[in-house]
Amino acid sequence: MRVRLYDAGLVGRLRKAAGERARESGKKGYRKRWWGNARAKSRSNFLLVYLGFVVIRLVAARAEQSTGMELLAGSASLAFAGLALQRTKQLRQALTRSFERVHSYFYPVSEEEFVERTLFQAATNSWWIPIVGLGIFRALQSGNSFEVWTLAGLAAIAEMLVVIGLVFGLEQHIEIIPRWLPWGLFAMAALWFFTPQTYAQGEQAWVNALPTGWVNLVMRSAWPADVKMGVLGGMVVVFAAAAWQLSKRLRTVFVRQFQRSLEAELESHSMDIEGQEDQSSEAWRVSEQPEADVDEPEEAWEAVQPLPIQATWQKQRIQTIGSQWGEEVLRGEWLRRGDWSHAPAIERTIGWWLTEKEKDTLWFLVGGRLPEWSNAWKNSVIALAAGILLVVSLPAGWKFAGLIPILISIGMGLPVAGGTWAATSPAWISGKITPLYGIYPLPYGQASRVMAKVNLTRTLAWLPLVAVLAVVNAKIENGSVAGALWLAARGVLLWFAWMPIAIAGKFSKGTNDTTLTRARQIILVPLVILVVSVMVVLWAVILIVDRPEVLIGAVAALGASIGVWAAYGWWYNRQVDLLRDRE
Amino acid sequence: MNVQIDKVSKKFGRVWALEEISLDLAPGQIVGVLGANGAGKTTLLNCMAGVAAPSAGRILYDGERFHRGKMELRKRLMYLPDFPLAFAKMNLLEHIAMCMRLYERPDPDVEKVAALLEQLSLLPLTGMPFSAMSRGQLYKSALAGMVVVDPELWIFDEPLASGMDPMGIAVFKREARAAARRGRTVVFTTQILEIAEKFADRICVLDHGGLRLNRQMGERRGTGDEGDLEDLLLRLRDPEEKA
Repeated sequence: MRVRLYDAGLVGRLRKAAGERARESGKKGYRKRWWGNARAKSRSNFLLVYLGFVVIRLVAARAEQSTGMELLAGSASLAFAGLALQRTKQLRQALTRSFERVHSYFYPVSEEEFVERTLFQAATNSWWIPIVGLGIFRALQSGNSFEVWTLAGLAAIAEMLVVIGLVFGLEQHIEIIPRWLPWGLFAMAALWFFTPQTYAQGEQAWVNALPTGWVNLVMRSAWPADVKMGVLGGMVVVFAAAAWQLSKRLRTVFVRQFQRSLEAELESHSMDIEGQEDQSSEAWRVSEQPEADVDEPEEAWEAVQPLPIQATWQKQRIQTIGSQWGEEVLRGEWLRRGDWSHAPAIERTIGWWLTEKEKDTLWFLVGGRLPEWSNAWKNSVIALAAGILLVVSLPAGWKFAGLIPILISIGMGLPVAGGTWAATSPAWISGKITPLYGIYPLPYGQASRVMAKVNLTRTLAWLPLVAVLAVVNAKIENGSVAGALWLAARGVLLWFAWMPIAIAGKFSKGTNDTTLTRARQIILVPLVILVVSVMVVLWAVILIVDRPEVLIGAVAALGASIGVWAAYGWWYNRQVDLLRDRE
Repeated sequence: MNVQIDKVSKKFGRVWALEEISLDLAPGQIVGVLGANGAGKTTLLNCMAGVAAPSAGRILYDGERFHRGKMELRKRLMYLPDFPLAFAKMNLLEHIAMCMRLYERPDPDVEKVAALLEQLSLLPLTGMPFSAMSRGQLYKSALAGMVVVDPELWIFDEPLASGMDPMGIAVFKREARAAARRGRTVVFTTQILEIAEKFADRICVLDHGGLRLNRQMGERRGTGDEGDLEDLLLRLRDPEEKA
């Protein structure tokens, strides 16, 4: 009899029985809530962020209807291409290293069944793509007729099938895809949206040449609606058939690979066993030889032949007493604090600014390995120079390519999301995830102060580059240098105002604060929404208002940001757990 | 350190992992916390160490209410979870130095540190990054850090099932006993009843988040009922017995 591992009916019956049993014993069973692992749903987060971009851009593009729609189409192509690559990597993970994969080896599950189910899951997890696609392809058209909605629906389904097909098709070639490419495409999609016309044309051939841009090509074509509908219907059929064929091929390839590896494993084991048999037969022959010392007393044998485990320990003791390792401990060099005076410029400045206690905290935050901030600054200058060269030399409308190195440069040189800190990285604790600092006495206030000082120093070191960027932008846009510098200064103010919230976020990411379901959250959630709204308004004021009074807004934004940081700190210290469920 | 756990409850989602636990632990005691899987032992330790925040109730150390932000109290306790948390690139000596600074302790006697590491068979591993160590070696390294810091409250989660070799377990027992003699409080969880009965001064048994037994071992030793912990744990999980 073949037992299916993933029998939904059986799982339901078992869950029901367990629930009844738990009720009998007067205990409530564990039930996962749908909002329980919000952090794990990076896809949903991406969806939300992306939809946020779409809404903002659509509102902003009302005045420039045609260009805005072209930008939307190009951006969507880039975003879906990035998504396809990201999901290809996720599928490889699911097929080779996931929790389920590892555990499947210990159960009588056929490889076909495992791969089949994993591919099925990968396909069904794409349910949300048509919903996003419907919104995008509907926005590309004017009017509100049935025809418009049908076209948008067909285009959305076709786009989903393209993504699924790409995932299955690229799976075997995942090694040649650079790791940064999916996120690079997401970043490009976001940049594409908000780039001035001088930098990016509405439509570019290379974007529509991507498989995820084919649907856009049809939608943006001048063909009559009925022709478009026919072509899109044909695309849906062809892409569905292609995705099906690719999934079958992938399944066959994976099963074959698994069988080959199994055969190789069995072969090596049989060789090992043969070798062991040879050795044991040798040993048998030796033991069959007449024993000269058979009459020796037992005590004497023990004295001469200590048990192997004793021998190992004795050997280790001989090695360690008076050894180089012992000398190293005794010298006590390891207790000395690091010398900051010979560190590179940025690190030296940070060392000069921090107190001794703060230096100890920093040492813990970075896991005993000081990041090469000065080196990162140098690399960011090189990337920025390359970006500026491209922006200056490329023709108008194609300057977009230069923004990519500039974006990379900002990522390298500035603490974009509050900086990278080894102590906040996740670790295991009794089946849950905690930040590495979870069990150590790391003060929220002092750690935040250290992070702020480091981030501020790094930002100040980057300020000359901000000025260079502002001047280059002024030249390209034919604007005044003073105006560009003033805009850059307001951007810097906004950056500083953002920093306290970003630092609070560093602590938040290791907690279960988003999954707490206490009644007080009913009060907290509207409060957070209110504070965030105030912050957004203040930030918008800083960027849009072109008067010196904007400084008051900047100070207010910084004050609100520090307020959020302090309020979160109070809550963090008293209410939240440094524990999260496994993602 | 005087530990007072006052009606502490902890809820995860809809499940009460701890329900109104009250416990007073005097300084100089070794306390063994026992219970079936899911009984709430680790949750109790997590609350005591500030990793988790109690949903209700309070924890007092020397009469002062404890929470994660009370750094003066946090520096007086140290927690070793079932899988020690340490930086993968750090080595043992760096870890000990980091602990000394974080807990604001004066520099230790290096000869004593060397002797301790030698007893734990860790001397040859002083330069090895934690990422290259086995679980047992990692636990012994973290134990070395705790012994050198010598906090007032030592908290261990499953030290006897941590992968430590017999030498490591012997050092753990010896150091815990010595710490208790110095007036430290040592709390550990375990599933090995025989060791808990012989090693601990006080036994606390948790089940389904509730405290079912809290007894000084001196009261039990010599009464002939030392071996009934196993029976007690089995009875706690038997629905018919409970009824």
